[in-house]
Amino acid sequence: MTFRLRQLRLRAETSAGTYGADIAFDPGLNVIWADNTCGKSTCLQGILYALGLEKMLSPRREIPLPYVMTTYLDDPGTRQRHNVLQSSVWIEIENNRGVVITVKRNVVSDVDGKLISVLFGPALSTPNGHYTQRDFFVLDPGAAQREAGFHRFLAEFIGWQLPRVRRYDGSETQLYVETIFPLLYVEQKAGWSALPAALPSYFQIRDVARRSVEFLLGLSTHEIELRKQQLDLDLAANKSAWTLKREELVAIAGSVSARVEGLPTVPTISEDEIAASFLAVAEGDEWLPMQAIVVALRARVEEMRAAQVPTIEQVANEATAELSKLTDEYADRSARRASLFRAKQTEVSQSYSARRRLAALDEDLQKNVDAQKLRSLGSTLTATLAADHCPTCTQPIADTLLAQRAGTAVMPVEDNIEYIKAQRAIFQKLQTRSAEALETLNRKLAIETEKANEISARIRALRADLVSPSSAPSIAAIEDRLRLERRLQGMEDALQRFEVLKAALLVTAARHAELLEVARTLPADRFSESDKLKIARFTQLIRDQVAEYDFTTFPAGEIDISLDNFKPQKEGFEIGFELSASDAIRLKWAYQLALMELGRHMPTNHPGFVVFDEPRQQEAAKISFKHLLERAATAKSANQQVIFATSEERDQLERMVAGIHCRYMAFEGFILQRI
Amino acid sequence: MSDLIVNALLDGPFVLRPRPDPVPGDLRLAWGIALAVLILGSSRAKRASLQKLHFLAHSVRTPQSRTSAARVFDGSLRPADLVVRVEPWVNRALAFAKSMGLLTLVNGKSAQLTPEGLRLCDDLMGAPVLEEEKNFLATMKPLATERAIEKIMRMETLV
Repeated sequence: MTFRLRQLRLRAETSAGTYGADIAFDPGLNVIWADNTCGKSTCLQGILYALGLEKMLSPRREIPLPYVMTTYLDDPGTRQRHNVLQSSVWIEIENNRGVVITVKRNVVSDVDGKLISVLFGPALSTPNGHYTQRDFFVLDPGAAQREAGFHRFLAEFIGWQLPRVRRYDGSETQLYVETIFPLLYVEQKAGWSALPAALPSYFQIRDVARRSVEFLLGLSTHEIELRKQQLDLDLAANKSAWTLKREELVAIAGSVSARVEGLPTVPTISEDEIAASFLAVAEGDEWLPMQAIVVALRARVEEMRAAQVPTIEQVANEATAELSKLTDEYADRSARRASLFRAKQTEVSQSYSARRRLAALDEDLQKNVDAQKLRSLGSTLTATLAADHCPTCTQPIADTLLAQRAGTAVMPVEDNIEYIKAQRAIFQKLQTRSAEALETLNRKLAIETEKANEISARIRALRADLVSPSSAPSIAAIEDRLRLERRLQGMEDALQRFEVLKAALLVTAARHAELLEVARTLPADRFSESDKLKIARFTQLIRDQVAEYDFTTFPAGEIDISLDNFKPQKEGFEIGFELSASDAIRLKWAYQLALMELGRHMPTNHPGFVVFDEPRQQEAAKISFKHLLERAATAKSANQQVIFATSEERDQLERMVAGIHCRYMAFEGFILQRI
Repeated sequence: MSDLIVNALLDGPFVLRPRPDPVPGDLRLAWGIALAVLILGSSRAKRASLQKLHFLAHSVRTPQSRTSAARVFDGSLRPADLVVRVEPWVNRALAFAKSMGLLTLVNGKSAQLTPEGLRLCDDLMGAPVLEEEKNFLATMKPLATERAIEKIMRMETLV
């Protein structure tokens, strides 16, 4: 990932001829000196303009160039004023693959300013070559993503794969080039006041500073976050697949008055646990495995099929006895049903009142939370709404709108919130228990009803037998056999479907195990081990530099980098007002260069290109500025590039750069000269 | 509990303290005053009669009361079936707000926000609090005019 500026050309055609400047840049440190208002920033902002990055400076689409490039210029020699008829900015840039391109953008021209022409070759340093040209557009929607968009092309040229990031409205977008360049290019006006950088917020990207620094440092945090989100989604999907299959099983069990035993409600990874689950049927007060019941039933049905249907005469006595027994049993069952029904009614009403109470508690909790927030919101609100004394008579007042009575203690709002939460927890437990109790009661009721229906059918059959001719076959016996056959059939079906679903659950369990394994490999926090190493190295690079630049507010070793927003911090607190103005500038120098220098030691996405427009050397000591120049000059050995534009006292600057390996360019008067 | 434990527990000084009384959130000073300010802020000329203040303060308080008020305005509930309670806490909130300089009482009949009250109202609108209440007041703003509320209180139909 490299972006290296080789040459810059500014051209302004006027009625009196052509004015312009050609500035060549080397790898390593480049220092441009010119007096104030002589065109340093014109040159540097020209680079931004050529790259279509003006939106990095402000959301307005105005041309970030002074009037010499847009309206008129004064001839440096004759002092005559000429209108600018046409003007353009050109830059020649190179990437790490050795590809050189020339980018041209018109400032004043008939051609649309949104158009950027790219010549595929060194058109400025070798003007005679024949280079293919292609036009791209900027500023319009799609400039960052469409193929003809210049920023997509630029990102590819630098070798950036820009990550997808989230907007405030929840939608996704690509990280914009405009939100990365402020970390490379410290602009004269707003650039020096912010760390990590003055990043544009109108792209509506959430945590834009964090995202941009993460990208530039090449951290995998964003990727880890995305993977975690995906994992959460997958786990939830798998869980709902499990629940769905389990519910189907419960429904199958319900159709034969059975219940599912040993199958957890949430996905398990234990195959044995799934294999061991079974259907249970109530026999009296016991729940027995359906398999055993089916075996017994099958034997019974076989026996009945083998025997001949008895005549009524043969069974009359037994039928009378059975009828009397069943009539008693029916009455008994009915009583039990009625009592179960009453219990159910009570439970329903209890569940309803628990639900209402919960809703009321939620409502009150919200109001108490609001009251608490109102007391702790911003200073003006707090001053007004957190009065503890009567505004008229200044006597202490209790925090309530009930009548103020002496001697009553009102619970503080924080305690009140805890108090409501405790009540809520109790009612939530009550409601859960109520739901469980209802489920059990419903099941019992269903079983009782089924039994009662069976008994009443049997009673009807026995009565029919007793009033039929004595030689006729016993209806009760036939019906008994049919009923048992039906029951057997139902249970066999249920068992078969249960086995099929169990196989499906095994697949879900395997998937669950797979996902848990993925979760195990992901780091617990946002940072992978290599990320942590990178941040530690980055911090060290900053500390080393601020020490070199004579940072004095506190020991350099106390500077840390916040893992939340990558701002420098001390003992967990963001560094702000306690810094002297000069130390704030030193820290800014160190931060910006450290971002670049980290790329020498570890893989990052930094293109090895940094621009400081007027590095505020006046605010720091001379000696610090000399050290900054020395440090920046180390860029050459790493094939990186640093560009400084300054109007520092010329003699002093020249003494400073004398011993340093750098390209020094001093401009007497205006940088833009007649050509 | 065995005598041994009871004696061990009693063998030392202990203090019984009354628990402070819990207060519903809507009876907190800050909540009531903020609501009064928001009601006035959503009224014409930042001014509302005491009747309107009571009507809206009662209506905004619970989901049920919010639904009932909305139903009266859409005609699905008769004004006679709507119970509006005139509650002392509203008066107290108004009294505190008045003494804090957030509102003035005009002729003893209506209340109006002062510039300071208006500033507080703007701050409240921008802060993440009282969301349900703000939503309700916003939907009521075009409907709950003084005239309409007068009619409801007299149990006259709105149309």
